[in-house]
Amino acid sequence: MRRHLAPLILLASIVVLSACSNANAPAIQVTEAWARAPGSAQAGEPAATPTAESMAHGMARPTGAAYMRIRNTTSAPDQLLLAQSDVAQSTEIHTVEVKNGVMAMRPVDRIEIPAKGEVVLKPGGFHVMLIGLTKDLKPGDRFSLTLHFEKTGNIEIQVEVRQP
Amino acid sequence: MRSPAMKSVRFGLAVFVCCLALTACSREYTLRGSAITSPKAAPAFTLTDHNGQPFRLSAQQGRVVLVYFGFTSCPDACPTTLSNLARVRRDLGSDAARVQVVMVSLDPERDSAEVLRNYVTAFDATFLGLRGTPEELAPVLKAYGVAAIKRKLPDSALGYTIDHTIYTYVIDPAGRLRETFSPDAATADVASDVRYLIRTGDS
Ligand SMILES: [Cu+2]
Repeated sequence: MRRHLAPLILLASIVVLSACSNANAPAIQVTEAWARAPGSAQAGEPAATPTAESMAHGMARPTGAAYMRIRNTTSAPDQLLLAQSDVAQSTEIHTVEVKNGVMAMRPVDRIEIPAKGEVVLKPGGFHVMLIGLTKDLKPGDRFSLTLHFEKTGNIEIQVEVRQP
Repeated sequence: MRSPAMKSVRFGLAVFVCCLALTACSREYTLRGSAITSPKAAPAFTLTDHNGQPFRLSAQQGRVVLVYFGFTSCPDACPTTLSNLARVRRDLGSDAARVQVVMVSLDPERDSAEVLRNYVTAFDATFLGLRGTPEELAPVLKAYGVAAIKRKLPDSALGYTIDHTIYTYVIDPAGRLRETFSPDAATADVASDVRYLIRTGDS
């Protein structure tokens, strides 16, 4: 009985795997990706170089936030776990909550993208926080951001910088 | 017996009176933010602007001052508000000269004058970032009812964030606190109120 089981499992795995790779639509679709990076540099002026004073304050480099629409075309939920980009020293997934006129921002472990559903990262909610910008980002610039999903793995997207 | 002609005259008169009443009401401008019912002088303060100059609220009489409390590593409400206020200034045309937007930093530890200047002027070249020591800031926050709570974020590269009130305070040209707006207020509403206050708020 055991002898018959191994090839069966192998066959099943191949069927499942090929089903995945043959899917027409990508499992996760990311659209409308944009970011704001206020104070990254002033229009027409070179980026401010951190001074001894600003360095002493722990965070000389400005922060930014990236927003996007994430669609899950599969029939199983997926999780956005991490994001990574060359334009920032650290990249984290955050959310924002407003209670009685007081805003609180908190890191989150993951964002669940429901099966055949979507989540929109937008001002007032989830965002990818770009902490310690290493590049001078101006409106119209594009940069790449890698999103890591639990099931789908890595997806590299292009993010457009907009007027803050 | 009343004639039908008499009836229609009366009806016409009634309509006329109603119209008069309605137009009289529509001339009374209603502020579009959360208006303060009996406006009083806005709490006075002196802080330091991002160029190192003292900023006295009392020296702003004759202009509408829009005061926002925030910090530069704030991802959301702060840039949304400042970007909306920049649009308001653009929409005001020549009236924009009589408006001053200031952001009081709630994070003097990280927001150096330079960081603050780069941040606020990215939205509009006339915006001013204001700084103060914690001792200078505390009475201002209290007077305006602004909450600012430093929260440690051990798992974040930020180290900490500041939960804070996200209203914009509108001070008229006579120095009275008139209303507040939340970050999602329509810029057309803010511009309309500012224009109204520039025209009428001196007295
Ligand atoms: Cu954030």
